[in-house]
Amino acid sequence: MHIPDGFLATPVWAGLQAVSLPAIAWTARKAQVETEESRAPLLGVLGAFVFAAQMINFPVGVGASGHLVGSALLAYTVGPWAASMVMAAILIIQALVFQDGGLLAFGANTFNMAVLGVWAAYLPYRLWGGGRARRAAILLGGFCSVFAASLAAIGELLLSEVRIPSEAMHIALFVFGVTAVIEGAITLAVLEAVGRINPRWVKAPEPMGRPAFVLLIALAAVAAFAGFWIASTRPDGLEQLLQNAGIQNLERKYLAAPTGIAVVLVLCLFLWRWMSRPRSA
Amino acid sequence: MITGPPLVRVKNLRHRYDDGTEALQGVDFELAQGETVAILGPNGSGKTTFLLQLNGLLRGEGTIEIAGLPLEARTLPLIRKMVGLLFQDPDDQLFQPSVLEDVSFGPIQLGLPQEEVRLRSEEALRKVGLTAGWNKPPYHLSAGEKQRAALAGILAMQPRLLVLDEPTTHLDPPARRQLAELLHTLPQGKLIVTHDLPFARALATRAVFFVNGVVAADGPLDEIIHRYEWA
Amino acid sequence: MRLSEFHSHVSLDHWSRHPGWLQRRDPRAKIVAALVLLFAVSFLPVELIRIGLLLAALALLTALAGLPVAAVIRRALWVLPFSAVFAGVTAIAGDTARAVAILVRTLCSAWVVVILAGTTPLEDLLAGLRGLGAPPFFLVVVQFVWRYLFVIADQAHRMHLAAHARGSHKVFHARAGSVAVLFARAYQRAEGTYRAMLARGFRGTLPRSRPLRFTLLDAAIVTSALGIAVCLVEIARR
Repeated sequence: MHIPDGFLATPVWAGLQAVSLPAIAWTARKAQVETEESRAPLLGVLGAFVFAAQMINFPVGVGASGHLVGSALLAYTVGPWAASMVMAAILIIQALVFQDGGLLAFGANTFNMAVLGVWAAYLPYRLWGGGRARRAAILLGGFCSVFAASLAAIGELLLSEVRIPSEAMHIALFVFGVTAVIEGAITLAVLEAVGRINPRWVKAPEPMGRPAFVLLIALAAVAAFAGFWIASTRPDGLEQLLQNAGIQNLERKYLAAPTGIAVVLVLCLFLWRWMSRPRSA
Repeated sequence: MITGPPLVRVKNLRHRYDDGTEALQGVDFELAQGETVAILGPNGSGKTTFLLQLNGLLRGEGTIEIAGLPLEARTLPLIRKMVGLLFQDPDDQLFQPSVLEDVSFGPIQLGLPQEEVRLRSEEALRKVGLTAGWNKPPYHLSAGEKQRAALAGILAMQPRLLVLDEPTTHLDPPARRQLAELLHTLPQGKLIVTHDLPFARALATRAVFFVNGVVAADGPLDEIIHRYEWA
Repeated sequence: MRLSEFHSHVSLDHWSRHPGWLQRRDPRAKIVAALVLLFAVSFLPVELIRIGLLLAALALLTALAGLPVAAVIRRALWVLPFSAVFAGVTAIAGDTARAVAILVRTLCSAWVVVILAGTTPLEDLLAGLRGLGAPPFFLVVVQFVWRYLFVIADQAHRMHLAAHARGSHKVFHARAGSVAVLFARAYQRAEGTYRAMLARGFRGTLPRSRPLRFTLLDAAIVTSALGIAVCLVEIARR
């Protein structure tokens, strides 16, 4: 979901620009260092591929069709850092040439699809992609990628006091769920087909060291617990926000926790990535 | 009278791909300065693999000498300056945002000063007959124009050998004639892999025929065509 | 995005290469001016006079830039489906002022971007971003995405036609398979491009875009944008 300019409140879009733009700069440096300038054509061509693939109709039942977003597919073929950068490249072209997504809102869209979307896809893959639950991990990765990005977008709209009545929220969440499932399915089908053509094109999920694994699970659990606790015991600020959107009591918990988890998840990922820097050659 | 070392000398060239395919199984070949040779043969016989060896994009066993210079890691930059390789799909090699920038890519990589880069690029573009649209993106061009722009990019490096991989594949008959006429005016030695026999006849009198990774025959073009019933 | 919108880039590309005074300006100035205007639009108080002034200013700018006003507005209207939904919901809930605000802001923001993109070819926009400090590696990737986008989209289209001709277009796995083939061809093309770069002596760093020259006229553009922004936003406070 590309958010146009004119929707987000200044603190929201400005805050996300402040987060996303440095993130892209840092990602670009990492991708450049890890892959050398000579990889730019590969990343560019694959970016063109994803852009083109996003327009392809996938028949999913009677008269309905789904589309690929591609954050997960990119993460599993070129790794999460390069994937973030490629998605951001796609987004800037979409914003400038096709007016799909705003320029002020570029930070928000990039955060949702290029950062959150990529890392939410990569985490399940990294955890379970190397084992027997590989296919489930990929499905889950695709699902989380789109679902987290969509939730974040809704969260940003809500924070900007855009009115979304509760019925619409139900429908929206349902639609997000469905598109997320489709993303998982398409990602899995395409990735398996790619692997049959050339297995080397699929990146192996690097095995995780046990201490890092345990620490990550612990952090995620703490984050989830904290998220629920904040949502249930300190509802004031959140409540005001959600009140503006006209959401009933029950929905609040549904929305607050996942969005909170998503944000904390990203932070965990950066923290873990930093912690698992290679210490020996 | 052509004197000096042969432009290309290949001895016992072998190449095996990662998956075990023996693409080249002992190729011997020589090209004199300024000579044009057509490279014929069925698909998969090693023709393209052979071409990619000549400027070190693929490395095999055996010896390769370009104008007397042996092809090794330290001579690669010089070899790549001397050998101009034109790929089959011009879209693969026109990768800069505008035609002029793309043609300038080679001279810039050679480390030439800005003014020299500009002179060479413009001269090369004029030589191939592209006199306008230099600042346009390549995808605006027709297939024939793209091929000529790609050729300009190579000529701007002032190579001594032109190696062309099935250059007429995407071209219509008028464009093919134009390309043949253009190549005819260039003094460099030329190696042309092609299935397009009229094109080959327009440019070469000698041909080599590849089969299963070796040069099965080397002689007059018409004789080879006749022998292998290649028409 | 639908395939129909995809080929719309042609008109923008065409407009941006027209030798107009705005087209020739330094892209950095245009980008900054556009951002300033977008900023102002996002703050715009919802009053008839102010909205009218904004629309008039945009129309004037469009005409002065040599762009076809009706076509530009039509492009800006693409954002309508998305914003109309939210505007409608907000209006139904009783907050008509906010609904109008949403519509005006989204449409005018899109208009500004169309003017920017319609007077600046993408490679110049990227050069401008580079001048403003964006990471070069990122911009090179964007450039390659743009360069190969249409090549690959055409391939996708041809594969789609071929699949249709054989009636296999309704099967999910067949579609996934063809997308995988598209991936494979893209990957191989990238390898081909890389070889072409090596063949021309690529030494590891890609050429940088031509240097930009910031002139007085460019400074004037940025100042005018700031001026307009201030007028639109500040004057209300009186």
